[in-house]
Amino acid sequence: MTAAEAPLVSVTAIRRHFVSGGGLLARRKVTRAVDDVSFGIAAGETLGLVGESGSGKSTLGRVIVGLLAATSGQVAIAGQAVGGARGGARRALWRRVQMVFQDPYSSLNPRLTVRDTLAEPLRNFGIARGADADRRIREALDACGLPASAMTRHPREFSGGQRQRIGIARALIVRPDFIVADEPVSALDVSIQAQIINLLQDLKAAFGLTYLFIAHDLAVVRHVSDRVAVMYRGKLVETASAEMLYARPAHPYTQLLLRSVPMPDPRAEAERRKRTAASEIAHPQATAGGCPFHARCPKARFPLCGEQAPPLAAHASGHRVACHFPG
Amino acid sequence: MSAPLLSIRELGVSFPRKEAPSTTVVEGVSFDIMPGEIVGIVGESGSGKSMTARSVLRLLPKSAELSGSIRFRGREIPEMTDEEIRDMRGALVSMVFQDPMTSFNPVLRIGDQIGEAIALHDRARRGRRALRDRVAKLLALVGIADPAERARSYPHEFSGGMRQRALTAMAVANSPALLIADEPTTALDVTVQDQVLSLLRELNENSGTAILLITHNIAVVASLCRRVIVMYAGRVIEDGPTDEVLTAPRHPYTWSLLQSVPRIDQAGTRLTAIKGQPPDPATPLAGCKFHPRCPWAEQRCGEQEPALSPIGEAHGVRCWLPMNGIAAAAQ
Repeated sequence: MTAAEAPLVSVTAIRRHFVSGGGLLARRKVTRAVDDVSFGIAAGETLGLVGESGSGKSTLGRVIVGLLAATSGQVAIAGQAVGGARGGARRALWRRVQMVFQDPYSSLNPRLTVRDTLAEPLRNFGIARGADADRRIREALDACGLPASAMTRHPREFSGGQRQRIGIARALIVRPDFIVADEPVSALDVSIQAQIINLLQDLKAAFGLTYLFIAHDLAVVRHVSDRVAVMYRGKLVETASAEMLYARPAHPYTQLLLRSVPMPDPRAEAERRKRTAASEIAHPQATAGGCPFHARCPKARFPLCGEQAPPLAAHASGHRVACHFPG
Repeated sequence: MSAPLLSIRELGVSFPRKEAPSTTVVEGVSFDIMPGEIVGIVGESGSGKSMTARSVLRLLPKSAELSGSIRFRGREIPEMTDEEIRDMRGALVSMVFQDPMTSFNPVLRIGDQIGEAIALHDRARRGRRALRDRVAKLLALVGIADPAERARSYPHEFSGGMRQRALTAMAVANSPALLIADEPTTALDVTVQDQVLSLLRELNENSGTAILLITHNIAVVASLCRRVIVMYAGRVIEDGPTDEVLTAPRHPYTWSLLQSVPRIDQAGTRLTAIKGQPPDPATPLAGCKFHPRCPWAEQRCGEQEPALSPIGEAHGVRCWLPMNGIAAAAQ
């Protein structure tokens, strides 16, 4: 992505807070699931979004596709703010954004045939009906490696991998520009994972798609992504090209994540274990404010890291890090 | 050479069906675990790996039919009385499951549950205070800070990783000779997974506990196990030293599985996916169970099932056309 080129997707200062409690006795508690996140995704790019459970990565994905309202901030597609659009313009904008979910078992309506499942978005967006819709459904199924005979069958008649193909066909059928895939392969067996990863990459090439690929599996993310963003406790802590991030991670949290992943080659794994001393740091000086990672950070210096949250700032070309002491 | 701790021969698990032949999910599984050894069973869902593990503690569903022999220190487990099994569970052999939330009773304090597990098999008949000290020691051993304080917490007050570590503490409370860990890190974040793997490694080194690790994650096997058993469609299809099996696999399924996993230390080339899907255990399949998905299958592969045959020192493979072990090294 060059600086002059406007990104296809731009996310600006998104916050999503959840409020719990607030009854007679309980104190109101605000959870900042997504806390001031901004980034852009260039057309044709795959941005991988990684983080551990509770990092806010799925919430962010849902806000971007409009399944959840943002508490504040803005999502724009090709320069048009989604929040500002109304009526037909809004629908035309949403048509360009689709989502693929983690669980192909619960994201498909068990009562609908595959034809009905795929016809629904065509009807909702006023794209096609009847014979024209059937033709588009056959095309989408074919692109996802499913036979036309799948149309009259129900989700339960398919394996997990095939159900995920149906979920992808449903996203693809409205011809979106941008797909948010939230853990699209983590519920699948290893041998089926590879089929779906390859399918997503083939579709990207064939239809010129742009992806936000949300996953906790760092090896899968490296494999599919052009650029990677790392999220921790609601904030982006590092973004860089996949190559750079995996070769020279600059944030201590990213470094911890990458060190923690075991490798399938026993010799490489033995080497990794020699380098890794699996010890969790707990700083007695840890405070409520400051850098979200400071309580676990081996490099944290006090009082700075405990008091002041570092902004996501340029570290090297195309590499941004939110750390007072990066590298 | 010492006697095996656990010896499984021709293990079979099947489920009878009404008006149809029964469904076989495990067939002809044989292997030994030596004292202090860490053995991994790797396979995908439906491979029979969990059913194999559960047979050892007689934790199979009621409708399951078991055949073959499972000997623990020479004693036949399927022939034990319920009382003998209860004495064995927890004290000699214990198990860690994938989901630490459902393994604890939600309305009892963590420390009380671990204490109960100790008291149940406690020959020393410790008093309350001694029991409390032992629980705190165990929680400290699994890396939980403020163990005496945290023992008073309820399961929901622990994070997923802490629950999994507390569960491991309960499983090792009586220093069992064998720990069966069924996907112990699957639900965990990668940083917590690394801690649990280190914990299992330390337990093995310090207490000599043998471990049977059930997982779908090849990297977890590479990290922890000296020996690996690969299962597919209820069969052991390869069994050997981890170093050999994961770097020079001899079964096409093992090779394909390794090819289909993205590597964190390598930039993305196209993955070699395994076409199709595993066979349905309810539908009988002649020949090698992998032949419909195998790129090298010949006519006899679809007609006759090969036996698990030795192919190297302590290395066996169930294939008519085993790979030469070079192909994977060139990947």
